Amino acid sequence: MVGGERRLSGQHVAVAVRGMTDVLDATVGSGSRWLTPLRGRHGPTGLLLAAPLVLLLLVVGYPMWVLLQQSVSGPLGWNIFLELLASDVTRAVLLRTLLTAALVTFVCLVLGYPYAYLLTVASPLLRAVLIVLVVLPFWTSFTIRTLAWVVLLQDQGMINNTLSTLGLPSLSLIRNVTGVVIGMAHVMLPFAVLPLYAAMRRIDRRLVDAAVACGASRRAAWRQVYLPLSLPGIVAASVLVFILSLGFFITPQLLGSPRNALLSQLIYMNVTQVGDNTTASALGVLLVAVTLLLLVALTVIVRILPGRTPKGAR
Amino acid sequence: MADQTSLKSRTRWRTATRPQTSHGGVELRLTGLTRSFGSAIAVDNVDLTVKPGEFMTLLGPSGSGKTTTLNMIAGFLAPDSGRIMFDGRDVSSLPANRRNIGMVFQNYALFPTMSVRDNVGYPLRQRRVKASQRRSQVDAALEMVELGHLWDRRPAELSGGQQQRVALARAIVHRPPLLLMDEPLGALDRRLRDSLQSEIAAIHRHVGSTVIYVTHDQDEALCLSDRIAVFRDGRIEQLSSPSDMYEQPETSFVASFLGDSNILVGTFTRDGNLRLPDGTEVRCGPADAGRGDAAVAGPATVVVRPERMRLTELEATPRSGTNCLVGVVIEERYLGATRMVALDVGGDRRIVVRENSGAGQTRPIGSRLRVCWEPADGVWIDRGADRHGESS
Repeated sequence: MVGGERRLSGQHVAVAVRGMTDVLDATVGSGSRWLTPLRGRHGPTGLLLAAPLVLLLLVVGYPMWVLLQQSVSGPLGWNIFLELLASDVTRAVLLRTLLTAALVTFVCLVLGYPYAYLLTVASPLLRAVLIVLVVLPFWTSFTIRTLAWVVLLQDQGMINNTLSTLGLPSLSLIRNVTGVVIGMAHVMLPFAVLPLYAAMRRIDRRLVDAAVACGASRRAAWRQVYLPLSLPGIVAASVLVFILSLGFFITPQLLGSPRNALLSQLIYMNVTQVGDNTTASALGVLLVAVTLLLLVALTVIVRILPGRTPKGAR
Repeated sequence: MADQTSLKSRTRWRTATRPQTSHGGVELRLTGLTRSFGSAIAVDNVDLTVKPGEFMTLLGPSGSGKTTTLNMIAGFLAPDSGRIMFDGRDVSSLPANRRNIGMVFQNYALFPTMSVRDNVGYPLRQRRVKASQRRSQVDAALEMVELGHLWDRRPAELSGGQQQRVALARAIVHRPPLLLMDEPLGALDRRLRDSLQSEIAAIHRHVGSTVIYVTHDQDEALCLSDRIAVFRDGRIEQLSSPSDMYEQPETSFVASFLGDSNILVGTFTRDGNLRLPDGTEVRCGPADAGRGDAAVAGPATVVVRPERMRLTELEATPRSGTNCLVGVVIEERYLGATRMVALDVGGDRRIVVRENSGAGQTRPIGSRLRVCWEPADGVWIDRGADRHGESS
C-alpha cells in the first residue's frame, strides 16, 4: 500500500500509452503489430494485407528512400545531418517547431476535453449537431479556413476592430506564434476531440456516482476515477495532434512570420529561395526521424512502466 | 460463514438471537417523497419509516419507482418535494458524498484502474483513514466476502460474482449506518445469486446497518427482508413482513406479483361467502371474519395460494366445510420438487394447484378432478362491504 497511489499513476500512463499505440497502429501505421499477421499462419489475412502494404511501400516507402538518397547526395554525404544539428538556425527552428506543436496540443486538449465530455452527456440530437460542428472544418478547404483566420486576426481585422470599438487596446494576433497556434489549434481540434470522445464514451458514468457514494466529492471523483479512465484518450489525442502539428506548413505560412519559421517553412525556403534541395531533403528526413524517435520513445516507456501486471498474478 | 453458504437458499437467514449491534443502523424516514421526470410521476408521495438495522426491500416491477426512491435516498436525485430524514435529521439537501452511505450497484461499478484493495479502501481514503488502519479494515472487509486472497487483482480479472463481492466489501468497509443496494444480484446467474443472498444476509447481521434493498425478484425479497414495500406506479402498494405479504396480500397486484396465486372474482354474499359467476359459493377467511359487516353485497375478490389447494379424484367425498370446484386438467408442469397443475373450472376460469411431485402420480391433461381448499386459506382482497364502506 505504501506508494500505492504513485504506482497507480504510473499504471494509468502505461494503460494510456497502450491505448495510444493502438490508435497509432490504426492511424499512423507504426509498430510491428502490423506485420505480425504476415508472419503467422494467417494466410488470407496476409494476402489481404499484402495489397495495401505494397501500395504503402510504393507511395510512402519509395519517396522516403529517394528523399534520403537526395539528402546524402551532396558533398557532405551523411555528415549533412551532423552539420544541420550543429547549426543554430536548424536547432532553433526544430525547437520552435516542437514547442509550437506542444502548445497546439495543449490548447487542443484544454478545448477538446470539455467538448468531448459534453458529447458524452448530450442528448442524441445535440450530440449529432456538436459532432457535425467539430467535423465541419474537414469539409472546408484548408487554405480558406486559414484565410478566414487572417480576416479575423489581422491588425485591422474583426477582433481588433471590435476591441477598439469597445475602447480596449488592440492585440497582436497575427504574424507571430499566437496566430500560428490559434490557426493550428483550430485545424487540429477534431483530432483531439474524436479520440477523447471515443475514450470517454466507454466510461461508465455510474462509476463517478459510485465514487461519490463512497464519500468522494464530485471533484475528487472526477480526478480519481474519471480522469484516469479518460487518460488513454488524452494520450491518443496528444500524440495525434502533436505529430500532425510537427509538419504544418500553410497555417504558419499565412498566420506566422518568417522570423518565427517552423521546420516545414525552412524546407520550403531551402527549395524555393535557396534552391538547396539537398538541405531541404535532409531537413525532411530530420523531421521524420524526430517523429519516429518520439514514437519509439513512447513505445519504450510503455514497455518499461510497471503497469503491465501479469494476468492471474497472485 | 462457510456453513451458511453451503446451506440451501430460499431460506430466511434469520437467527433468533440477532445481535443488537452497538454501531447499528440509522433510522430512515421518508415523508411525502415525490419526484417526476417530465410529465411522468416516478415517485408519488411516498411515506416510509425504516427502523434502525432493519432490512427493507423495495420490490416492484421496472418503472414502479423503487430505483428512483433509492437514488433519492442516496442523494443522486433531488426530490421534487418531500423529505428524507436520517435519525430525524433532514438530509434532503445534503450531497451524496456527505450522507455516509454504502452503496452496491447492479453493474458492480468497481473502479477499473484500481486494484481490489484500492477499490475496497476507497471509502476509507475519502474519510482520511490512516494507511495502516485502512489496510486492516480493507482486509477485514475482504475476508468477510471471502476474497482476501484476490486483493491485488484488477476488477477485469475477476468473475461477475467476485466483482459483486468486492463491491459489497467496498460498500461496508466503512461500516455505513445505511447500506443501499440497487438490484445487486440482477446481473448474476441463479447459483451465484443464491450464495450471495446468504452472504448479504450474513453481512447485514454482522454490520448491523439499515439496509434498503431494491429488487424485482420476489424470492430475494422474501428470503432477505425484515419488511417489504411493494411499489406500483410510484406508490407503496403494501408494506409488511415477508410472511404477511405472502399470506395476507392486500391487493390482487401484490398477490400476483409475490408468488403464484389464484384470484377468484365474484360477489360478496349476505352470509359472508364469495359467489362465483357460475353460482358456486365458496367460504373464505377465518370462520367468523366478515360476518359482521356483511350487510351490503357487492363485487369481491379472494386469493388462494396454489400450494394450499389439493386435488382429489371425483369419486372421493370431500370433507365437509371445504371449498371444492371441479375442473379439467389443461396443463401440467413438472418443477422437480413440485408440480404445477392448471385446471379449467369453467367460465374461462383457471385454477393452478401446486402439489408435491413425490408420489409419482401424474395428472394427465383432460382428466376431471376436484380441487379443494380450506376456507381459512382464502384471503379476502377486497370485499363488497369494505369497498362500499370506504367510498361512502
